[in-house]
Amino acid sequence: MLLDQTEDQAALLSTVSAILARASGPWAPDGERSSFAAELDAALEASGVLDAAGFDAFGPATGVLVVQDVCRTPAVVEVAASALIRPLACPDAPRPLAVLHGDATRACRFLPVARAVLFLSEAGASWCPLEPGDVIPVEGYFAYPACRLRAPQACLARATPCADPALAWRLALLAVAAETSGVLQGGLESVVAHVSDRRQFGRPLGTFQALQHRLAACSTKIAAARWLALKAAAGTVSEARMAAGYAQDAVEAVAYDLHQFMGAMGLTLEHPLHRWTYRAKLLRSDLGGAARHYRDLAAAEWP
Amino acid sequence: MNFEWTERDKAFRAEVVDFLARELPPDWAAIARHGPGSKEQTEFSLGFCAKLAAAGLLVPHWPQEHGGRGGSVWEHFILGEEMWAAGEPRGPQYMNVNWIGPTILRFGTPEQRERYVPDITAGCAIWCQGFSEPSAGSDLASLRTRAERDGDGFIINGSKVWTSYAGLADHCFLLARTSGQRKDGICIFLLSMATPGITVRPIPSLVGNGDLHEVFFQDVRIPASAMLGEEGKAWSLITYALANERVGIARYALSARALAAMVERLKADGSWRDDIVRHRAGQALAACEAARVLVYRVVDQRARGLPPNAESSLTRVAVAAADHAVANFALDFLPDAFADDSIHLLKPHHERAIAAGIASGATEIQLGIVATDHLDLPRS
Repeated sequence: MLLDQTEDQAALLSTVSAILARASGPWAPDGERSSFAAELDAALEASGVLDAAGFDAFGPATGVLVVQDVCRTPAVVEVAASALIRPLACPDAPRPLAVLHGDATRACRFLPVARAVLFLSEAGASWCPLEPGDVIPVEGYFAYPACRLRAPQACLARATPCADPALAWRLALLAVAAETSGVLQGGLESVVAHVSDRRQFGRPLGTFQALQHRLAACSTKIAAARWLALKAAAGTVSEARMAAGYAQDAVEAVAYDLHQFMGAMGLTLEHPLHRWTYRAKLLRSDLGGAARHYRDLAAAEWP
Repeated sequence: MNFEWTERDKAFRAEVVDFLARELPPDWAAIARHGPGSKEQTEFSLGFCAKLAAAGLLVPHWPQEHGGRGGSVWEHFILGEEMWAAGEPRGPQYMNVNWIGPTILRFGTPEQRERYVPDITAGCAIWCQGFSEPSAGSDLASLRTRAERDGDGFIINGSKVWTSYAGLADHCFLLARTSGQRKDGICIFLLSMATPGITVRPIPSLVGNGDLHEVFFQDVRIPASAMLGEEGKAWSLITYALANERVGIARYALSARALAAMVERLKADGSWRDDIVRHRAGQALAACEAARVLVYRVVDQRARGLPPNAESSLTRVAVAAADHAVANFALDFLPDAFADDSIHLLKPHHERAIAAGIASGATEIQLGIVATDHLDLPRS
């Protein structure tokens, strides 16, 4: 057991950091509830870092690290499906890749910008390329861009089955775990910076024990979610369920505390807090949510 | 980044598991129901640890010249995981092998090592730690027990409280103050519990009768050679000794074992078909595994020679949360099992879960450390 990053992983993550640093300008809040950082998304794709999980030298754990780092930023890009599912389960699919679970008529995050959609159901997994006219806009409530498919049955009919649907499911769970832990970490860092600077009652908010303990508790949950996702990267589907369920389960308490401590500033769209918390709030229910993953985990652990 | 066990680690775990299967007696469940701090389990540890020692499994992580195998940091934790999962048959002697022995080996005089270490490595030494006092619980640096110079020795006066194992202990790892305030002026003394002037009074408790005690020191005379390390400079030694305690007890392993036993009961009575029961079982299991992976993170840092940091405190919070998740699962779905004590390790698990967020540094202390030393929040 060795839980440090390999030299290759560290080098790849410094590439990711450099891309994020160069692209930091366009992340400024624009007063919109949902957003998409198209230039950053394109830069990540062009760099090749999103393909790392498909190479033996890197593998899915590297994909998890990339997703967590990118999701710590307030920029909304399609990284989880592209860095974790696509390289191993549907490498021929173009990206950005939207993931549509269950009812194909549902609104789905990233569909407005996606060039392909991955259908996940109890029956299996398949993907379908998309053209701009294939989607109908919906109001983006959860920070992500969202759309519905105009003709979901037609898309399903022309979809290509994934060779290993069980792998696609496992990686989709892993993607949820990685993305959720990443956005929660980013939100926490933003709030920690805020309460360290913001003074009320003559001293920084962050000196009050009531805030310190709750933020420390949030940090514990997020750290556990991060490491469960990393452990699940090379693990079983049960480990992926556990990682996804734990991260989604953490969202309620963490998102609540982050908003409480950001106060009224976090209610405005002039501050990016919603870029983390409203991604996390949608991720809570992804692929069935924590309750389903915990039930499935228990059923598999104790058949 | 690799979460795989080495072949050596796997072989070591198998050796420990085989030993437990072979050496735990048929009435182990009846002994373990009293809990690791009980009189019954403390007495049991004397025979059990002697067998562990004979098998080379009591202090495998210690240097060979002191009775160990020179095993890895990971082997030390594998040993702790399997022992705790079985209900900790080493009783109080886990302290000897985790931190009392290593602290004596590192800071003790040759005479102290010669006097105390052989009994520890033979598995026949019961120690208690004389740390907490009525006015010094979480704030250990406020301790008041005095050690006054008297010729070639010291006179100890004061009292300790909530002291585990004191009723049967041979020796005490005692903190007392010779001078100064707060962290300055504190000394460690290694002394026999049979020294005249020591009185032990058991305190009835929720964590099992016979576990907690008051210990009174009235004009207890000890030689100067009983001091471990330099006079008044014990705080750094305590920090060294307890760095391991933050994650040294693999409570999550017992929690996971108790949870599995509860699930078997729920399957037998048909409750397992309930979605809510399975949801909560999965949630409790995830809490245990969250604690486990964070502990592994800390162990990995130690194995790589990195200095201790606030991740130990963060991990302690997760370990306590896992204990509580499993304990609450039992209360919600199997309250009757407490009445007839019919599920192996359920009662001792529940009793220890109450203490999980208090012993070895309260959760709130750990949260404060995480806030300032991990999140870098400003200090008040």
